Amino acid sequence: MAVSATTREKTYRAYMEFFDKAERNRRWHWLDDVPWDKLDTTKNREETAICLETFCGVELYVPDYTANGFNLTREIFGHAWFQANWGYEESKHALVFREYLLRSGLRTLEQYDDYEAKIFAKKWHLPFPTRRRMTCYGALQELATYQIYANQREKYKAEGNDVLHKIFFLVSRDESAHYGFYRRVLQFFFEEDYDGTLADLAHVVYHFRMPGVGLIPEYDDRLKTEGVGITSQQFLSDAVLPMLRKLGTTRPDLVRALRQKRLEEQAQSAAGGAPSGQAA
Amino acid sequence: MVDNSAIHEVNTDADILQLLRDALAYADPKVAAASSDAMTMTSTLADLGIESVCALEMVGYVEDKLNILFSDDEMSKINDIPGFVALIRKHHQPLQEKKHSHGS
Repeated sequence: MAVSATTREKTYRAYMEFFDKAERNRRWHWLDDVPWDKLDTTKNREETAICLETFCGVELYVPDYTANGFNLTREIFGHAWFQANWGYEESKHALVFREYLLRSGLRTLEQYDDYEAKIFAKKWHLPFPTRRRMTCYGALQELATYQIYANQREKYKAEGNDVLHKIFFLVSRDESAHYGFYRRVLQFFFEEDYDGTLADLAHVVYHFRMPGVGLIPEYDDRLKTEGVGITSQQFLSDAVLPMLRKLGTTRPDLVRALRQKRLEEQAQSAAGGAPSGQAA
Repeated sequence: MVDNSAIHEVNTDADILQLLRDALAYADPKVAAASSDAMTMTSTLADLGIESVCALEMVGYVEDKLNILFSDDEMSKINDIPGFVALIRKHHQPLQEKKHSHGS
């Protein structure tokens, strides 16, 4: 899909604002900004280990996320440079989760290495093949991840676990900023082609799966641990509906687009073809 | 698209349950085939296998059929059939009551 000069410029400006705030207000150091001296191993729980291990596993796919993301965005300065910055920030998330797992003794190095090997044995692939659909996906996924991490932040604040409270404060703030950038780019798509973008958003909502599905070992079992994910209802109330409002569209509009998408996929299926627009 | 040429008459819980079964069949025929019969006044959406997109489409179906509109906040709080029924009752005045109130 051709990108207009106006959209390129708007995307560049959005990136400059994102990056400026990141550099001035949001940079953090995994050693200096986390109060590791307050680590209290009496607070160790297997549920905590499962959550952190799962989050770490999802973040470990940064090489695949960035490689695929660069291929999709490399011709749009603002979006491609965002991808570079995004990869840097997400890489710290995996690192700080790994550090907590090992420093706390929740996992031994041998256990962690075994887990990491299982993670890297699989590859993440783009769930959708176009920049517009991946922008829809990025916005929803970042907002859902923000909610998950924010829930953890509040949980550990209540439990008096200063280390994890600070870690989840830092990573949730990053995810919120990432969502903000994706949402702005999505807004540009809406300004250029409202109906087409709404159709893509409906397609992505319909097929949405968190990135760990099918990749993280025993993912379904992990989801039974409170805090690993959010419910379907929370996804709707905390991600989809707030995003629609921010984008200036409505739930009835999305429902109409979902119906249209379903009819098109049924027609394609009846004609013997696979639904278009979703990568394997 | 949803045929809303005739606005549903829903006076009783049984009427509303039938409307919700129709909505489920419209939104996701596979889920409906598996769980529509199990839908009762005590079911949760999770019990019935109703996930976010299905719930969105069910709500859209009900809104079209009854010519009502829930707020996003109300919609996002629906997590069980009693809650769904209560919300419909809040927004939809049964025809008999309408006739009564207009006729008095």
